[in-house]
Amino acid sequence: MGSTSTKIKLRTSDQKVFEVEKAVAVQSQTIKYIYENGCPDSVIHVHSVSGDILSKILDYCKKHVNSAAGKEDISPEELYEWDANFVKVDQNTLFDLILAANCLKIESLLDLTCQTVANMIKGKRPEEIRTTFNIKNDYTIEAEEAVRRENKWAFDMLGGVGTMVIEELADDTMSKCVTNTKSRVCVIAANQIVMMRSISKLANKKSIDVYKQPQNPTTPRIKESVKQRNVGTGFIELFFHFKCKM
Amino acid sequence: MSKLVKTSEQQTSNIMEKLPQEIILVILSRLPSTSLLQSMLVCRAWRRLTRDPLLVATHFSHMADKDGPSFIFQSNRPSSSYQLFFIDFSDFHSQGKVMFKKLPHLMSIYLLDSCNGLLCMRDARWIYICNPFTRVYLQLPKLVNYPAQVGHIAFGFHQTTKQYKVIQVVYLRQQVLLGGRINVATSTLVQSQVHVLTIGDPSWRHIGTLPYDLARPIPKALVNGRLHWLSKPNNDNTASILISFDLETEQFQEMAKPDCCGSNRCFHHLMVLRGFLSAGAYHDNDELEVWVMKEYGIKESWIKEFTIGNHLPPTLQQNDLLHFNMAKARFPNSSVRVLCILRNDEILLEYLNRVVVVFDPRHGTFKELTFDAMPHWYKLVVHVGSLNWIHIPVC
Repeated sequence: MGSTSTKIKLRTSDQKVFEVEKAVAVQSQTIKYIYENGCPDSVIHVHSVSGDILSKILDYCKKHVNSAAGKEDISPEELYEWDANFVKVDQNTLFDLILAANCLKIESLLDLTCQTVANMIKGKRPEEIRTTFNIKNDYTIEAEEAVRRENKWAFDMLGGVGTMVIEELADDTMSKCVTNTKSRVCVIAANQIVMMRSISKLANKKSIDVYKQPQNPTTPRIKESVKQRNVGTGFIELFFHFKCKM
Repeated sequence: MSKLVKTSEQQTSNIMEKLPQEIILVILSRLPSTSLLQSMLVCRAWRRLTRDPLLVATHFSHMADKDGPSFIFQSNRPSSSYQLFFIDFSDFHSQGKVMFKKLPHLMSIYLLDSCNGLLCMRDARWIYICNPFTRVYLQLPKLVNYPAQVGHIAFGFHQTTKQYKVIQVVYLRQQVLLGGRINVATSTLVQSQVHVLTIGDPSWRHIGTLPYDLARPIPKALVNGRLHWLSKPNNDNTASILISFDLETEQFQEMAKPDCCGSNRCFHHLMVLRGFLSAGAYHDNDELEVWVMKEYGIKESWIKEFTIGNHLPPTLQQNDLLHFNMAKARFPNSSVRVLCILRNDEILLEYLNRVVVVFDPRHGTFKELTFDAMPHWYKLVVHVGSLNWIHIPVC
């Protein structure tokens, strides 16, 4: 039965030595293994991690150990926010953290950092992803076209990403908008109400009705007509990307 | 002439090259399905990764665990194209966005069921298993003796045996003639034969008959490696029975329903809510009760989780619909289906195969969801969006 304030020494690749509590250090499965199977008194070398990165990692481990043990009064939401701030670093540091978390086998930190990178990739077009991470495009033009064609529906960012949540309003005008015709859909976007016709009916209409919600609720709604551009073959697809008013 | 100043933070090389392949795999597995497909175009190495079974299996387990469910629905109206759509609620809680995409058109085939990201579909002659994202599909062998008879089809997966099975119940009815014509209404069930196909086997196996009538076209619930249905009451029996089919032992079993009011006819659909088997009951007071079985197999563990009051969504208030389906419109809760519970405890409901509604139990409010080019009638199944395929080892 060891004392609760056992300290472990860690030496990094740039010869810095950190002394930390055992409970914090063994968050890393690698360090735990070495400690339990090696000499508990000598220094553990973490060759692949630099001093700066290890310092950050130890902050992370300490925070999580303290919150789990109840030493720090922090709610799960606050811990979640702390984690979110922890990963607000430049790309190089983030990737170094990933490599270190992988090498030191700290699962929760690896999950956190990988999810952060995934969030950076999510929702971006391939060109944007390449720019963000400086990845070289090694596709030939034909190959790229072929892959894009194969999965066209997934790349079709415009094809229907949108939120249309219609509040159950008592307002007569509003429910009329919704139920009037099968081909009309009513959308609340910020403070505008947009009436759209379905794709097939757009052919004959030259403009779309946009109702602006007035600042003063007692004044009547203002109707503006927005001219459509590019009538083209007669079919226009209108794509909107809204944030839902919850 | 401006000078380009290189700071120490500016990287000039591919930073992803710092990471070993298995870490990139972990990162990609955390992307939503559509982003994962888009990431294929970034570079060839990433495209190779998306074909790696380990990536697909890891990605699938992330998708299956998420509380933001996704659905596929298919509609034949207004355009008779059997168009498939994909709805994803994973960003609903955090950003208020619901993703809605039209899927590529595969074939003119009818959607039956979904399991582990794979769809079971059929046309007039064949049954298929396919993944609508990767568009890989498999045609299943025909049921030899009853090529034209299609009964109730369900598709499931058992975690232990890691096998996908399709079960088909074929009904043989005693035709009653009335004035020289077959009277469908009084045809009684003579036999329902059960056939099972393990995906990968060359033919179906006849495993016996069933004394119940599973003729309700209600989706089944897959829990604990067992499929569950509510049987339709027949002439001799007015109660609906809860039946389970074990995908490993291939045995049918009756299960106890909750005691809600003494009547046996009030439960009208089953679903899986947060991993538990659940049933919806409709009573005369117009409220929909949702009961959840917290411990599998134990009757006493059925708990009434919540009640949903009467509500008719605005779209259904259109006059033409009311004429069409007066009784159902007046008592909407008699044909509403609970789809799932979202992360913030809001409940997704489906009314009459036409409208999807989000119900907030804390405030008792309803919000209707509609989308551009939303079809008028549709069949909706819960679906995990993934690149999964039959041979990929998922748990």
